[in-house]
Amino acid sequence: MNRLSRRRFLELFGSAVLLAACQPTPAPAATKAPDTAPEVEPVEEAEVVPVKVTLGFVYGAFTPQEKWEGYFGSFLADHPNVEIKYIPVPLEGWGAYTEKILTLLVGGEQVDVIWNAIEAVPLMAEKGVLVDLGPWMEVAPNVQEFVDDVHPKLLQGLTWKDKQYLLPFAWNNVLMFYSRQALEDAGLPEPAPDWTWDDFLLYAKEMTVDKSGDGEIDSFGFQSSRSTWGAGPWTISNGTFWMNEDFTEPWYDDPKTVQAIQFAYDLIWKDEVAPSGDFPTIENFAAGNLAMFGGAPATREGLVPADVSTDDYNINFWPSNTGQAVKGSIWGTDGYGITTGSKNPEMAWELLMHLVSKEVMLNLVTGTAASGSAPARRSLATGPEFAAHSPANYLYWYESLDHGRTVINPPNFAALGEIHNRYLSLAWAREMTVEEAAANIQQDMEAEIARYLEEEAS
Amino acid sequence: MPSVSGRVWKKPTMNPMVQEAVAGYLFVLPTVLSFLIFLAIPLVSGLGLAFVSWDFFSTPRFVGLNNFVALSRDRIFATTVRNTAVFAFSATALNVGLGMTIAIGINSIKRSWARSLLRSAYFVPFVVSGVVTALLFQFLLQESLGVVNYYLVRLGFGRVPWLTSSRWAMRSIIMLDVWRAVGFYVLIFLAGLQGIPAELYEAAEVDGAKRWAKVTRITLPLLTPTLFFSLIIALIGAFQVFDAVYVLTDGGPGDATRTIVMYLYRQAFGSYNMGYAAAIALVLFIIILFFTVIQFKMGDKWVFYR
Repeated sequence: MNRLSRRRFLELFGSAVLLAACQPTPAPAATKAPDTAPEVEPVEEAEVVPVKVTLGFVYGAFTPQEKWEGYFGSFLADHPNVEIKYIPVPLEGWGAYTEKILTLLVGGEQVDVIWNAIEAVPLMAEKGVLVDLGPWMEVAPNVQEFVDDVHPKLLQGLTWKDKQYLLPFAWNNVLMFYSRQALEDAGLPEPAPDWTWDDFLLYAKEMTVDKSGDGEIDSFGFQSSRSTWGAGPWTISNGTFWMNEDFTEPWYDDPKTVQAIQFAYDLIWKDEVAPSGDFPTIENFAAGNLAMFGGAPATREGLVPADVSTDDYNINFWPSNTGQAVKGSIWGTDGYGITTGSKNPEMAWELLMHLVSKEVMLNLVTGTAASGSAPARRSLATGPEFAAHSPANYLYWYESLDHGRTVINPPNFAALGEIHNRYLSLAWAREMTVEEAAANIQQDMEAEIARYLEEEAS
Repeated sequence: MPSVSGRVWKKPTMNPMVQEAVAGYLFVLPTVLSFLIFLAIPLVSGLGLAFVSWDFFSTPRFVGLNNFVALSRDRIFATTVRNTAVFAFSATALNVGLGMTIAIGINSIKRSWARSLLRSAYFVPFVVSGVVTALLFQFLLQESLGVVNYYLVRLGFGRVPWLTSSRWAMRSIIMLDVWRAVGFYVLIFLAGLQGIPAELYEAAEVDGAKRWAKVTRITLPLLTPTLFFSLIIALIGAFQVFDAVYVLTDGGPGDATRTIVMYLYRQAFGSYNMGYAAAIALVLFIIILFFTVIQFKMGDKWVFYR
């Protein structure tokens, strides 16, 4: 067997280095145009082969992937070197969804662009996994058109400590849905925008009916929720909310908050106009077993497969208990952001701008989007396409954005939501009074906020 | 083999004993590696994590026994221990008790096709995913529109808040667990029953033993090793209950059905308190170890080995 001499080894090594040096250099991944034009003469024969770029995209797997793929068509046609790696994450609630994304990131999954909601922004920002989009927005030439077309509150909602982490795509807020048929059957006119809690109760009682005459109610006037989202409008319409603006102070010891919870509770157990326990909303509304409920723009899409047309129902502002019309409600928004671990932030930014373009957002009004939420762009949310797929008073949704409160979304939002549900579930099961539940929530939330602030300080 | 240079290549020699030892080590290497990677290292890491404060993203900070001190003062954790104990002892008693009774019943059936049919029927729910069975029960036990309540109302009873009241929620979870797992224990006991020699029964019959006497004097004593095994694995599994509760009630109403593993999961992946979650895991390990040791100690007195 021939031995490799030192001289021969050096000859081979030198040749290998020389060959490697002659290989074409791959183009840089960045797609941002350089500040100055390069001075070298272009080589006509040289064919620029774009580098293959893979962008990891995290989406909520509550609808099939094909719905999401529909957003990328023209972007991929314009960027043939880009491929999207779809990363579905089960969406059973924003807290659990965010937990799974963070676990993916910690586990080393290559994620560039994520879709998430307002709830997740402070937590993900605090964990340092989202890129501050501010510097990108300052220099991007086409961003102003987008900013001008979006309600400032939606943009503001996706910031944390004055930094923009997501660009808004869609949003929802809770207004009162009512069945026109149920109104007609009860001989009631469409409710006025400035209706009161008393008016509402009257409507709910009139539309709670034992159709079969067997002593069991077949059709309920309303469905009463106890979640921070579903019962939130009762607090707002009573001139208060669950917590203060920066979520450092719970307001469950405010008599107005307790009164609002009590009102929602009494609709089930005292006034008997709302069912107890589980009662699928869409199915019962479609079947004529439910006259009113708190719904959002996304609810429209849920009603389509149940054969409920936009002429069959309408929406109204929430009834008031303050003596003034309530135009605001609880709202939330979702959007797209870039992860700090992105290997292609420039391309991810281009994708972000594509995802918030009119072309993609149009899916939200034509029923081809992954969700049925309202588009973030004003021109679409108040435009004719949205009107064609919405009930008569659809403009109330956008109008209410001016006055509402966002969902509870500090970094410890999951723990706060759990405290709310822990005690109100006991109240709703009649194992605790509303006052006791509110007092317990107040106490536990104060402790949780103190724990979080202490942890943040350390 | 002669080389080009003319030197002769000699096969390296190795002491046959060393050679045998190397081969042996190579054979066990895959098992040892998987044990280390998937069991030993995570176990030791988990143990270490219980003494640090770590949120996944920052550097772990040693906090000594702080996690355990906090755990001792945590009233939700105390509730989860109580709930888990209620579930574990109830589900174990029902699964093992019913499993044994059903197995004895099936074993006494003469027709083999009927035995096979019943055995399969009881075992099928066990092979279905826990999440799927929980979703099925969620549908069946809905308060307003559930099938179970529909028939209860038709029979003149009131609606039962199966999943929304503290009184019923844990019972519903135990019911689901028994429906799903009892088939597994039926199978274990059937295997145990088939190991009992037929001549013992024949001898008893010659002596004039009745059916009940044969069950209590032959079947049950000779089933005690199977019973002991079933109790051990049922209790260990029950203390780790998670999926059924997570899907069916999410720990509610209030904390009425929150279990130790659910709380551990929330702490680890909801609040990102990895150290605290590891401390909970360690306490759970100690609880399971304690009851297993107790069972082994007590087993010496009642388990009959032929």
